[in-house]
Amino acid sequence: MKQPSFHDVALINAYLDDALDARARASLERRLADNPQLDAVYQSMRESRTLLRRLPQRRAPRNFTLTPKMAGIKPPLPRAYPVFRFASAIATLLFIFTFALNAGVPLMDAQQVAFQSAPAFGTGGGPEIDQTLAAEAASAPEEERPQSGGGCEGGDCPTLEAAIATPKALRVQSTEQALPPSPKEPGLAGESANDSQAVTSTPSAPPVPAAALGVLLGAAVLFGGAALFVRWRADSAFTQRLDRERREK
Amino acid sequence: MDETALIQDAQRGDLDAFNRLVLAYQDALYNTALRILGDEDQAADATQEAFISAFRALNSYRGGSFKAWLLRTVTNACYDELRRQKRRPTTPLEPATEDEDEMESPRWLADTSMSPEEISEADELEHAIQHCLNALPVDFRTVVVMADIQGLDYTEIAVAVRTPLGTIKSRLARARLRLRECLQDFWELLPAQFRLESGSRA
Repeated sequence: MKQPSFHDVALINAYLDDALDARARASLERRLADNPQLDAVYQSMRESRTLLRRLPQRRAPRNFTLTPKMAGIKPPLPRAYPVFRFASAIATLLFIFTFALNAGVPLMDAQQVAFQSAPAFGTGGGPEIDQTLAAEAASAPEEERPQSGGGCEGGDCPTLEAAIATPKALRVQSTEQALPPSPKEPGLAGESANDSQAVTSTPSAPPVPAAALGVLLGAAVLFGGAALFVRWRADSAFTQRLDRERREK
Repeated sequence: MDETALIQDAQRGDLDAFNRLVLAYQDALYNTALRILGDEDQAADATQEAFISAFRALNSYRGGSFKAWLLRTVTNACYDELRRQKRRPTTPLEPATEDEDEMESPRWLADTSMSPEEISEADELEHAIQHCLNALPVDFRTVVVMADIQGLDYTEIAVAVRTPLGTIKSRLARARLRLRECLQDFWELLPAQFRLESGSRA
């Protein structure tokens, strides 16, 4: 079969689709009647087109309807949700603030003690110096200690005794200067060096706000849980509403 | 079905209205994807992608044939799938013979509930046409599927594939010419009921 020109194919195509004006249509029909080869091309193209149109239409294997998730639709937020979200944020901030404050308290205590002990050292020794001196006195060997009546003669002994008594005297004096008076101190002043350590212990730290910490932690958990619950309820209600509307339709 | 009202509702975010449109057009979109891609699973995926894209881009619809607008989305999804296949070509599952050669037709996958003659008769036309469609360049294939399978006119096809009208006419003529030549090879195999009598004009 002779191949038609592309112009003829385009004309036949337009004729098949009823896209020719009346004049062109009449002209082509005359040519088809006079030219069996062109008519054969027309017939085969028409049959091919008819075959395509008779191609069985398949049913969709499933429904392609969209779910809210596929469509990217999010359920509306409940009215109370911003409140819970704000409260959760505030509780979290307070929790962090309290935690940081609690962690910083020991450092502040150490700085406070150092500040108190520094001026006492120049004026006769602070509690820490008392402890050092008392410990040295207690651990000193017996032979190094001056014996009364041994090597002292005349007016030398009082000097040695004064030397032995100096740590205690210094300790009692400095303790009285450095610390505010307490009920236990008068009795302890004349005791041994070991007892003096109890008197000269570091000042107690401010109370840790454990209760406040617990309250804040509880508030954070409560608000966070409530926010999650409210969001879950909103999601469930939204899904149920969609299902109900779909069933009704 | 008031299509215009459903489209307007869907444009305002009413998913149920859009889903009613989906139910109305899903067969057309699936068949278009099936004829362009030639694979049922890929056609189903492309159809689903097309409806998702259509919902997200629904506000860009400015009137005209909604079917043509939807067919454009499924055509784009098919083009994406074909590009993906080109990047990652796959090997069809073919059984091997005793000589380690691949069988041309995997009969072990066939439905055994029908006789071979029945299977052959039922699928012959569809397979022959699909074979010839697959042999066409994808641009030609798309145009001929829209014109002869979906029944769109030239203007609607031009909207669907965003191509000038003259190009559509040219592609359609070339596609039908190639299809005619291809189907000549199968003509003797086609059932007699599909042979048209000569002489009647369009």
